[in-house]
This record gives sequence, structure tokens and C-alpha cells, in this order.
Amino acid sequence: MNIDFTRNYFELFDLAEGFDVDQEDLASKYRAFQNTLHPDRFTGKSDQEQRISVRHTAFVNEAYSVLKSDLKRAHYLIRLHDAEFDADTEMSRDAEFLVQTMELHERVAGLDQAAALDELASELKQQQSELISRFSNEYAQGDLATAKDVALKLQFYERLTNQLKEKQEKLEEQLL
Amino acid sequence: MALLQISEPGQSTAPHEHRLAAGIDLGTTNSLVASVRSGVVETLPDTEGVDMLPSVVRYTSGDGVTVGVSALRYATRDPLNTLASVKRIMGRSVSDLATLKGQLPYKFVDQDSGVPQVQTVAGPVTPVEVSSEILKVLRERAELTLGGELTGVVITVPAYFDDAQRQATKDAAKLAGLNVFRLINEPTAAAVAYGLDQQAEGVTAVYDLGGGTFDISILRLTKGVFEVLSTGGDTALGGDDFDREIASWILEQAGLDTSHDHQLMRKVLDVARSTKESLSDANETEIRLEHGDEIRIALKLGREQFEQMIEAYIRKTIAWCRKTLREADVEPQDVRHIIMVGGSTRTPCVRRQVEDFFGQPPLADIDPDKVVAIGAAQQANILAGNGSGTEMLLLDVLPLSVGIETMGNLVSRIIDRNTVIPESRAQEFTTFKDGQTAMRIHVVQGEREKVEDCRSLATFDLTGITPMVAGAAHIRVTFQVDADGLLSVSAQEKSSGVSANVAVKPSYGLTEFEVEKMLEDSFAHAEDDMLAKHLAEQLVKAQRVLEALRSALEKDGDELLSVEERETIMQARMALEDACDGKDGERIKQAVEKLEHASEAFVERRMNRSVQRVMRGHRVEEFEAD
Repeated sequence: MNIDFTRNYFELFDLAEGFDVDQEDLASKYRAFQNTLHPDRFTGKSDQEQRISVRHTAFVNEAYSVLKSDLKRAHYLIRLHDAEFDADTEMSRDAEFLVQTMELHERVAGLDQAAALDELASELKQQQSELISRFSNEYAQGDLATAKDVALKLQFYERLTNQLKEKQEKLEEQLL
Repeated sequence: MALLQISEPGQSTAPHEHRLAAGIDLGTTNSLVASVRSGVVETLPDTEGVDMLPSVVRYTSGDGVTVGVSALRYATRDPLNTLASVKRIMGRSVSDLATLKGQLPYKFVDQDSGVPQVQTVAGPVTPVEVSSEILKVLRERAELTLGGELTGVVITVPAYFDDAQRQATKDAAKLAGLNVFRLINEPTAAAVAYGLDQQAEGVTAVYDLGGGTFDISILRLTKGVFEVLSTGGDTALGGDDFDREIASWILEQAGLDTSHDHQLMRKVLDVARSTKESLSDANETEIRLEHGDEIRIALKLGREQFEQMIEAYIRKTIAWCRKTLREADVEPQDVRHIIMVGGSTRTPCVRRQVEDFFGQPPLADIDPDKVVAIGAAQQANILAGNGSGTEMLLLDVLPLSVGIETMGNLVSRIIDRNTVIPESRAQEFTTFKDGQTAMRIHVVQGEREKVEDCRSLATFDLTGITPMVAGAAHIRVTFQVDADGLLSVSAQEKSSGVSANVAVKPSYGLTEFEVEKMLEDSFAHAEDDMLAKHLAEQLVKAQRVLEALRSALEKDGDELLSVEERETIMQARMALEDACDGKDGERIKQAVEKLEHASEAFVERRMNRSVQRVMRGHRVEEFEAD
């Protein structure tokens, strides 16, 4: 297991390339990496070793942050097959979903009570976890086109959830 | 994991030699230094037996500088030359100061941009220089008490400090002649102090209300790893605000105006502070103030009334707690420990409201004024190599997102806040116009979408791009954040290979050159002395590199290097050995760089091999667990 910057994150952590990742195994390998590579282990060493340590740890951290997150891992898997994939600019082509997104946007805009926002937040969370298991299935079956569409839908939910969070925070600040 | 240990006999000193290290809490109001001695961690007092050094520096004519209590004594008599709370302006630009000026009772040099300077009788001084005076005193105190030179220190900074503020702190340390092992966040240091003593696992909230800053950090402690889940806070909120509330109440009651009388303002603030302190125990306190011939004030202030004055500030801190917990995805009842840090947490209603919010009493076993320095000292001791080498690892996060400016004054974030550091991430950008041959890269830090709402860190140009149609060039911008949270940025155009590198020095920060210059000036050495010092430093460094290489070659040279690779390294080594026989420090420096370049791949391979060993050990562990 080398720190080879050209290899993908699954290879780095010696994991099968796929959506389902044993998070405990991942976390424990991550800790082992950190214990060996982290700059704190090189304070007495040469400048050169310190520099390399920073570079390697940074790479491991980036890989771990991607593999740890369902959303980032889904996007990463799609990008391994389609380097041009960009979740920030692309949109799902599912017409029915697009109508849904507009409705959801309107609902978020129309809410101004903390309780109602919380309720919508848990509703969104539920739909998100359904999408995550759908992504897992589609990807496992090799239906990349559908998996990609699901990944884009997940991105929409991520953004909407963040908007909701911001709104909740603003509301809380006003109450004070 | 005993397998982790790969010792380098040539580099590490004898195994039982204790290397002197210290932790420094460089505070807004007070600073402290602590160290681990014979296994016991304690703050180090001055010759009078006092631990806390007031973060106050006084400049007198003829280059005289006094720090601490003796400077504080002149705060009222000589307010313009006696600088306090300078941490508030560390890493700030001149334009940032507009909002703070009214609150800081000293004079700034009139200037439009750059590093702000305070006008004193000894000439203009920068916040970095003022801080370095405080650090110098702490360094001398530690070296005197410990009986030798410090190999390195850990300095704490508020979790919320941005790149510019961290860089300024590091510059101040450099100027004070200190080797900084690591900058760590104050709340993290507090958790180290408690974590090591109690081996606490689970989620910990650190509520730090100091003189000038408020921080709330949510940490998770698991299997010897501290992870910062989220941080939040306000760099301009603290006990000083409580003092100011009382002060303006006093002035209002007495019908006074201090805007042209710095001495009176300072005096009123001093009285306000002692009023606040006595209200921690008493329900009511008397306020007496005399100034000149005309001003005689006698007032009474009750605790309840005081609590009303500061209510808004405490509510603000609780709002930050809620926000930061939300970011960490943690509910208040999931927090297992709350740690109180900072003198202002002694105010009873602060503790009460924190307890109400979290639903449990906070921890305050360790003196809230000392807990940060104590944690920093423990970490410094480990980083100095005095531990077993298998201690918990401190993983920290980036406090504020970093990104670059794109079209329309918008910020494209490259690394999000609360990402574990070190971290590096790259993103591709493209040209806006046909035939564009250069690109200006503007690095910013902050959470807002518009460039003008974020902090501008640096600007650099990537030139020499091959002319192409708009959108055809692929410019890859790589951000790397080191373990201190400091950023460096590089950019490369893919097809032409044109690249630019920059260690992010804030637009209004001190340049490397300026810091070096200050360092030289402070020693006031003759040029010959400087050259001799440079040569001696380079020789030491060269010896260390040669010794490390010798031992590495002996161990792994045969296995990890081809004949050609070994030959290249040997040539570079010979060149360095030749350079060491001469008297030219600069030539040695260049030879070291060449040797490091030649052996880069070898060093990487060795590091990979240690990773492999760990991962093999890891599999064995798993196997055993099954």
C-alpha cells in the first residue's frame, strides 16, 4: 500500500471499488495512516521529510474525506468513469424530479416556523437516504447512467438541506 | 502499535535525553508559558512567583521595552506607549482597523494600506513586533526556569484565527527566536489537558470566553485521536466587552466623556474590571474613582444589574454554541463533557447559562486561565520527542474555507472549513477571453459568496499561457494547507506546463524579507557576525542531512535504489561534503537543496515502506480480532 498519487482512493485504502464501504475498516486504516505519516510524527526530522509528510497526509486526508461521505463517494465513483462529470453544473434530466425540486424550493421559501423547518429537514433526510440506497443498487448493477442521475439528485438535496440549515440558523439568531 | 517506530539513530538524540519544550498561551489579556518537568505539567512563574504575564508592552524613548506587570502600571499614566490587547489586531489590515479604532486607546500611524503600525515614543511598531516582545519574555522565563535552550514550542491561537492571523503569530515567534513545533487551537489544547488526565472518550464542547475572544469547539475523542468536528466563535467578544459595558455605565452615571482623555478612559476601564471581578463573589459592589481635581465618583452596582448589561453577549455565545453543534451534527444532550476556558467563565451567570444550554454542569477542575497553556505544554513535550512516540495524535481542521475569485466577484471555494488538515485539493479553471495569456489568481478566505465579504489573502499572476480560444486552457490550481493551518497555492496550465507557486503571505502581512530584516536588526550584528552565523547554521543543517542519508542508505539503500539512482545521490553527497569544507554558507545551502532533490524519491520510498509495515500490522491486528 503505497502513497501513489496516481492511484485512486479505493486502492489507497485497499478497498474494493464500489459504493458500499465498511466505514469502521476505513476509519481504522485512516488512523493507521495518520499515525505513521502525520507531520506531528516528523517534528524532529529533516525539512525534506516534513515536507513529504505534509504532502502525503494531505492526500490521505482528501481521500478519506471523499470515501467517508456518501455524497462525495458517489460523485467520486461517477468521476472515475466519466472524468468530465461536474455535480455543480449538471442537472438531473428527470422531468418529474425537476417539478419536485421546484415544489420543494417553494416549500422552503414559504416556511418561517422552526418546527415546520425541522419537519421538512427530517423529510429531506429520509428522501436522501432512499436515494443513497438507490445509488448503491444502481451502481452495483452497473447502470451508470441511472446512478449518475441519482448522484445529481443527491447533490440537489445536499444544496437544499444547506439552504434549510442557513434558514434555521437565521431564525434562531432572530429569536435571540 | 510498536511497529510504527522507525528510529533514525543519526537524527534523534540519545533516547533518554529530555529535550526542553514549552507550551505558550499567547492571550489577549494575559499570556502564560508551561512545561512538562519530571512528568508533571505546570505553568512557569516569574521570579516574583506570578504565572500570568499581562499581555501589555510599553515602549519608552531610547528603545526601552518593558512587558507585563511593570508595563501595565503605566497603562493609565502613559496610555499611548503602553500597548494592550494587541492580539486583536494581529494579522489585521489597516482597513480592518476602522471598526476597532474607537475601542483601542492608542494611536495608529496614518497609512492607507499594509500592516498597521502603532505610533509610540520609540517609533512605529507592528502588532507582530509587540507580540514578539511578550514571547521573548516568556522564552527567557522558560529557559531560565528549565535551565537550557528550548528546542521548540507549541503556541495556541483562537480556533477562529484565519490564515493571516496564524501567519502573524508564527512571524512573532520567529522574531522572538522561537522554533514553533506547531500552532494549535486554544480549545483543542484545553481538551488535551483534560483528555490526557482523564482519558475521556466521546463528544466534548470547549467553551472559551477569554478577555478578547470567544470560541466554541466541538471535538470528538476516539481511540487516542482528537478530531475537531466544528469550530465557531467571534474574534471580538470577551470579558473586555463586560469591562466596557460597566465603564460606559459609569461614565453615563457620572456624565463624563473620555473621547479626548485616554488616561481617564484607561482608569475607568481598570475600575470596571475590578468591579466585574468582585461581582463574581459579591451581590453588590462599590465603585470609587478619582481623576484630577474635579472628578470624584462613588457608585454602587448590583450583580443582577451587571448581568443585564452582559446578557446580550452571553446570549450571543449560546447562539454560537447552537450553530456550531448543528454544524457538527450533534445535539446538546449528546455532548459528554463541557470544558470551561478563560477567566471570563468565572462570571457566575456565564456558567449558569452554559449549564442550562447543555443540561449539565461544565468541567472546571483545571484553572480556566491555565488549562490552555497546560495542554499546549503536553503537546510540545510529545512533539519534542520526549514521549513514547505512540501517543494520541492531534488532528485539527481548517477554521475558515479558502477559495479563489472567479468571474463576477464570486468566490469559488476550494477547501471547505472544518476539513481535516493537512489537506490539498486541486480544481481546474479556464480562460475567459480568446487569446488570454495571463491569469490573476486572487486567494480569499471566508464563508461568504461575494469576494468583498471575504478576507483577501494574496494575489498572484500566472503568465505565459499559450494563446487559445476562451475556455480551452486548463489551469489547475492546487491549495495545500499544512498542519498549522497555513496555506500555499500553486497553479499550472496543463498544455504549456507553465506554473506559478506562492506561499500565501497575506497582502498586508509581513514578507519573509521583512521578518528576516527585523530579526537582523534586533541582533544588531555586524555583517561579519551575520555571515558567520549563517555559515554555522548551514553547517549544522548539512551535518544533519548527511547523517540522515548515511543511516538511510545503510538500512534501505541496497533494496530501494537502482545503481544509477544511488550514483546520482552519491554525487550530490560528495558536492555537499566539498561545500562543507569551505566557508561559504550560501554554497552549502545550495548543495543541501541539490542533495535533497536527488534523494527525494528515496525518502518517499522509505516513507511508503513504513506505511506498508503499518498496514501489514493492521491486517494482522484485524486477523487477531476475528
